[in-house]
Amino acid sequence: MNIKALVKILGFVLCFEAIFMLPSTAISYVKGQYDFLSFLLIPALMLAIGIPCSLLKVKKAKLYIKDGFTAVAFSWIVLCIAGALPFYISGAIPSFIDSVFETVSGFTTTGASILTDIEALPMGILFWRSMTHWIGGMGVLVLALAVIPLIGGSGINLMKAESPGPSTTKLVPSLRKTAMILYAIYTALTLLEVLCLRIAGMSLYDAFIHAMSTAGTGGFSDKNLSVGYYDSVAIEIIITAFMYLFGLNFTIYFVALTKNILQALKSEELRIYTAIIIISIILISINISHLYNGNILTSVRYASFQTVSIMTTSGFSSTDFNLWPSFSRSMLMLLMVIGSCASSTGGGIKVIRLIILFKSIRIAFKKITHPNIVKTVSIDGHAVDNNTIFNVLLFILLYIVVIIIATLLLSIENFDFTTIFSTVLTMIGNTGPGFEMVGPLSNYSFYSDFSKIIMSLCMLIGRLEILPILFLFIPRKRSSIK
Amino acid sequence: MKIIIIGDGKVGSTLASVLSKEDNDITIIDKNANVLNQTNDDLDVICIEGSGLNIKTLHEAKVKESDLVIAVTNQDEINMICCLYAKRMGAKYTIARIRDPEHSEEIKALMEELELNQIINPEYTAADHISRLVLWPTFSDIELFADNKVLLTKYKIDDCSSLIGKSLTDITEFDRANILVAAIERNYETIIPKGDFIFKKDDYIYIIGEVHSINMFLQQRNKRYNKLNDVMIIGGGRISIYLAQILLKNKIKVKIIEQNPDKCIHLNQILPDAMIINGDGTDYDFLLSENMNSTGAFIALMGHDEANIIACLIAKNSGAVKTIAKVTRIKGLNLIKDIGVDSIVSPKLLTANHILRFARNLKVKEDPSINELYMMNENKMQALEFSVEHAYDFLDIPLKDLKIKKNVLIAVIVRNNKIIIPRGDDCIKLNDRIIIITSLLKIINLTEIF
Repeated sequence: MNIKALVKILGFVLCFEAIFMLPSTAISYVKGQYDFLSFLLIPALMLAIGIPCSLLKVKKAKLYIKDGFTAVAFSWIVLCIAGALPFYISGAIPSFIDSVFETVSGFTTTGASILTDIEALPMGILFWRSMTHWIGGMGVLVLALAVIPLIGGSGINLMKAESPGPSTTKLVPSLRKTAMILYAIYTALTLLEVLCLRIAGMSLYDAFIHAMSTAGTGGFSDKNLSVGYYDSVAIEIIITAFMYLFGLNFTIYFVALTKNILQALKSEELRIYTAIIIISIILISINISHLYNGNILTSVRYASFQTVSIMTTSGFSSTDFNLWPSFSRSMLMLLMVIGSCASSTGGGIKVIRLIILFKSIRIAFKKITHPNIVKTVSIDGHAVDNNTIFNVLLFILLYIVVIIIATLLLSIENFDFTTIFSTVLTMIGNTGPGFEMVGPLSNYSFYSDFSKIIMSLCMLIGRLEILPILFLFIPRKRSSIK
Repeated sequence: MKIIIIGDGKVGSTLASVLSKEDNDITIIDKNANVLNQTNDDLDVICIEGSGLNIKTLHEAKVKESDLVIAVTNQDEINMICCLYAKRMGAKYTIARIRDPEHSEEIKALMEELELNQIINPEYTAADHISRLVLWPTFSDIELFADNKVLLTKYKIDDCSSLIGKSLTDITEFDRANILVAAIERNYETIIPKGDFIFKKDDYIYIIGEVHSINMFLQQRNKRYNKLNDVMIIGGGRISIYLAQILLKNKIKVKIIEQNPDKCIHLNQILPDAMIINGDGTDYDFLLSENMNSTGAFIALMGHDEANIIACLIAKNSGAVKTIAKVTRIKGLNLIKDIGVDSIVSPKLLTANHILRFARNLKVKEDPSINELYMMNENKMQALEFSVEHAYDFLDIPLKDLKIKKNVLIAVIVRNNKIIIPRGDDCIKLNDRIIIITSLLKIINLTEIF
């Protein structure tokens, strides 16, 4: 491992994080709340450590895939621990493990909280909490690639380890410009949502909080009742629309902007993603309509918000879906596992992987009737090579293995199965709310510290798509001459 | 500049690697997904899997908006058709690799018919380069500037050299000979020396100056060989054919050793004046029986780098005057020189230099002033020749008063066919040609050196 390069990258990560804390510093200063001091000292400390590290001269600039994995895993761990400091030092969250859990939940865009009364927290802290969603959504190393020309062409291995999806596509030949374009689209969409929410009647502060949470498909709100607090159809429609948009593959926006929209709409992933959402909305609406006295419009309103929120792994809630019938809850659990599109800000297994899985299964069936048939899986008219298919199947398998192990570990605490299983699914899928004891109106404070550490790891494993985090735990022997 | 490269082979990837470092948008098209994946990870380029003959693929690569299309697949005909399509679809300039000796006679007509802007023939380029090494045996590395009047060459400081331990200012020999030490290669790093630079054993020094002056200088240092009368070429590929044709024209005896009997017959038909021998080019006894030990130059042009290097080492040890090996993998070229092969020729590197020069001249279309370009030491440094055609504001000012960028050296000024090694009091005048050596690879324009 290229240790100097790793330290340099970590230095940059700390500097970026410090800069992103500054809006919270400003808010806490203006409001004169008790978190101001910690938002002043912590960024200063981080810059003091980060700047010298980032100025390190790295001789060997090439980053191999293993370096990319290690750098991304370490960056995220550093990011989460440093990001937890404001919560802990300001005293907003008294336990350090709780602070780390809350921050991991933020950066991985999960949106699961241990807070019992969110509205009691100072505004700077809440703003930082949503800001972690925004940073984590697109990824801090992608940002590093966009802003600093540190790593040259080989930065692709950082991007591969950090952005979700089976393959990483460059939008333009230069990796740096690709990262810039991604962040430009991301920022523009976020600002557009702020504007829409402001028009729909939210205060500017709340609009920013919700827009940043939607952008990262996170789900932190500054209200105890989440989006349900506003009880406004307009706000729900706006947030639903933007959750859908942020759950899309960002490459589609690039194609739509540079080529034409028709070509962008031809994307198979986009079509299947949309189809799953529409079918789920219809089924759930029918299933829950009796709860709303047969009022179809009301049930469609709640069903669509909840479906999109869970499918994109945002985890906002406009109603307590814990009270819904079993079928609807099972549907939501399934959507949680499927997740959003590749190269989006959402989590889950990703629609594209399922498409590849089902196409491979179809070929496997054809092979039974025609053993010598030669057929390749193709997406959007391009053949997918066997290596990619193998990785996709391996990913899905590992995903299940991680779920089983995590369920086992959480079961040590004697809660009911639905609670524990939905906790694991929601953590690995980076969704947020689960069912029963961890439903949309509850929180995770009742779990023990051990379980919270397991859950934090699950969230990181889910966000970084398993391999980078598991890679840290693989024991390696190095041969040396003594 | 938007550049599309069709074919991600040896030449294609080298070109992509060099061009992508200069702010170009590069798209590579190839049929082989494995090769593309590697390139995609290593370089700032976009890769498209597909054939350059497929209109859909060309559309996807946005040929319409491209400035330059370079077709370097392994088939001449595909390259020609790719370029023809590209031109029809709106590409501004096209370059095709056409290397079959069969086409070489009607090349002019082909260029016109297909509206090609440039043709690359790596094999011919390599043959041309090797022939210079044979014709001027004193030098192990030859790059010519200013209509072949100025020579840039490399010279190794060995054990008994009087230069060791002295600083550049101490040594008057270079001044007296009117040549300049342009760069030093030490431990695979290239340095532009200052006055206090001290020479060490095993440094390679790049010297630049008039051909005649350098010749004299090396003669004094007992480095001069007499004219070579005969060469032995191992391997009968395309380079060998081109090379044999050039050498035969210059009245040098050519002996070609080729393993494949059918190929030998073919060689004999197209090269009636050369001696063709059927046999294994790495077989020591066989080579000795063919008088390897008394041959002037031993040139190994087989398909495998390893075989070429080993053959050259055998030849050098048994007394061949000059050994030249073709090496395709360019990483680690220096290592090979250290173990005793006199000259190394890499066709893809030579070709990349040619195309790079063309591409850079396109970039400064309003002022295309680069005449020659040569990449030194694994692309870490470059030598550029510019013509001074406009009244720039730095003209007629003594060099010592100009603020020249760090790592840029004005090595030679050519004025009215006279070669001047510039000192502080010299100045650049209109219609001069100047040669600079620099490690700043982005320089493409004369004004950028200040």
